[in-house]
Amino acid sequence: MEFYSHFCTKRCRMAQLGHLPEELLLIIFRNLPTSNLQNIALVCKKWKRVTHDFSLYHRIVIDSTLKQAEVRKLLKTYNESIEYIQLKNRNDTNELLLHVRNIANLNNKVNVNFLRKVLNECSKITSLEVRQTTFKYGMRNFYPTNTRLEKLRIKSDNNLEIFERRLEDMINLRDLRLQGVKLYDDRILIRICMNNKYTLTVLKLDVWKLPIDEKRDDELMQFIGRCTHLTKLSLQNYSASGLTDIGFGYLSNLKRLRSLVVTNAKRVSARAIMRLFYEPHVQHLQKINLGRCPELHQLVLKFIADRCPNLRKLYVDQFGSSCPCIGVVDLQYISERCPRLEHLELCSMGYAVGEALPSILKKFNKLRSFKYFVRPLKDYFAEYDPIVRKSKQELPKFHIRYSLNYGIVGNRK
Amino acid sequence: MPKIRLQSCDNDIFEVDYDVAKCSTTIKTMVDDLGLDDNDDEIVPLPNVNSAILRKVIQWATQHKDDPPPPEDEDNREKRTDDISSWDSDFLKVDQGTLFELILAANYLDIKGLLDVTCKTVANMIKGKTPEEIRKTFNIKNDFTTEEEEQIRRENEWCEDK
Repeated sequence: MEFYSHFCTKRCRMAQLGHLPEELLLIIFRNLPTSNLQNIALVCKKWKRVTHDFSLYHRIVIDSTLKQAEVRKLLKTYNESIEYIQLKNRNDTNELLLHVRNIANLNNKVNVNFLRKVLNECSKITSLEVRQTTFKYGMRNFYPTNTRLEKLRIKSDNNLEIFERRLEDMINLRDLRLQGVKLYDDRILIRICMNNKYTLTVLKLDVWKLPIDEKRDDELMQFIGRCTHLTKLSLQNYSASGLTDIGFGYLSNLKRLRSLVVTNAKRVSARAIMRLFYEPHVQHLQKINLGRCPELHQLVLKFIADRCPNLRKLYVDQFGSSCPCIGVVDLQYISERCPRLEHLELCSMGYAVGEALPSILKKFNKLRSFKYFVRPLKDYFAEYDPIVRKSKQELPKFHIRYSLNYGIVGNRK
Repeated sequence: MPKIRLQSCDNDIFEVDYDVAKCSTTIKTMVDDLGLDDNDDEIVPLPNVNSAILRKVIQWATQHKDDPPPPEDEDNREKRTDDISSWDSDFLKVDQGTLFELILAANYLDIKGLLDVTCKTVANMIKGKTPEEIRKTFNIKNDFTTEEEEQIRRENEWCEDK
């Protein structure tokens, strides 16, 4: 007993967090915002030593608390080690980024002229993310001349025009996401697929193409089908509206696919979907979204559930369905066949599920989040809506709220 | 379900499901390399962890045994310390000594999830504090002379005002 109490006091004296070994202090400091590090350097000699570790400056996030001169000094000192930089709520982004030469990842709101400058000067950039909705004249001046680019993501809300000619120079693309983008020459996508056949692993397209020509959608699919390394494929809205059974059939070449999103494929028949899911490799699929495919009815959905036991995310949408009768029984069937399902999204299910929602969701053991959207749900009365109330009562493990865009949204606590 | 036996530094023996124990990469490698599961009498010795801490670690691992493995690709993750689950934050409402030993144990046993969440908890204790407050919280002695401190302040002027 005496020994134990001795051990205990000794432990309390020794076991102070300040005395952690340096490599563990480093892990703790990595969680802190960059602006905190200088305060830490003033604590004691050991902590000061640790804050000089270059690995703390691979990823820096700078908010508006720092003065411009201060940030410049920081960028100058650690220029060599910065790989990622994010400037939050600052209005001097353009000036600041000119002091960074080695960034490999640019993820900020910047203006077009600046973007051009960065792309010409920073040859090390391999990843570019542009999230911009306010380019007044589109991005017709956008010249991504840097052929080292591996990741290119452009996202916009209002059909951004981009200068597509240069896109076909890209030969190292691993990850291409064009969302809300307008293309004048849709052949460009075919050429991108050809040039990056062996490197592309992620392809997300939600683009306007002019002219809209359905045959070309099938032709594009043929080339997408040759990018056999693809693990994630997403074709949304206008990108898939012209797909026919022939184009859809090329999907069966993509043996490494883990995530498949094809929405608004109005012309694809149930038979084509069944044929795709007859392939043995679909068992590896973890995410499926075939929203707004009118032919995705009961039997097809059950067949998909049969064939994809590893599914984690599923989206079921009956909007515009030719036979809208997916209901409680079908969902129960899915819960038995896909026990690993973590995210379930149900859209436009009419009243086929209705108040049975909570009881059916309980059948999915691993469920972490769900969305349920019914058109006629009156948003003013969300608090009094029987489905919302019943869900709150019967699903105590979930945070449940109602949102105008997504309907009932639940997340596991 | 196969069980394995773990021995803490004060010679207590814990019988744990292999599914729970394999959260720890150290134990997993030991078991896989040595093939301990073939022989029932074998005990995995953990000389750097005491019983109280090992009990906590097992409690954490049991709760988190079904978690998906943490993502390798940290490219697009923002630095966050506010994503600690409510279970974890309750679990980590312990005195500093225990938290300290949990960090050491998580590091030694190579349990990434536990190391992450304990380090984040400590980071939260540091966040936004002045150097003096940090020293007080963690009982650290200020080993700078006044001149040295002044010099660092000058060097680091870029972060002076808040």
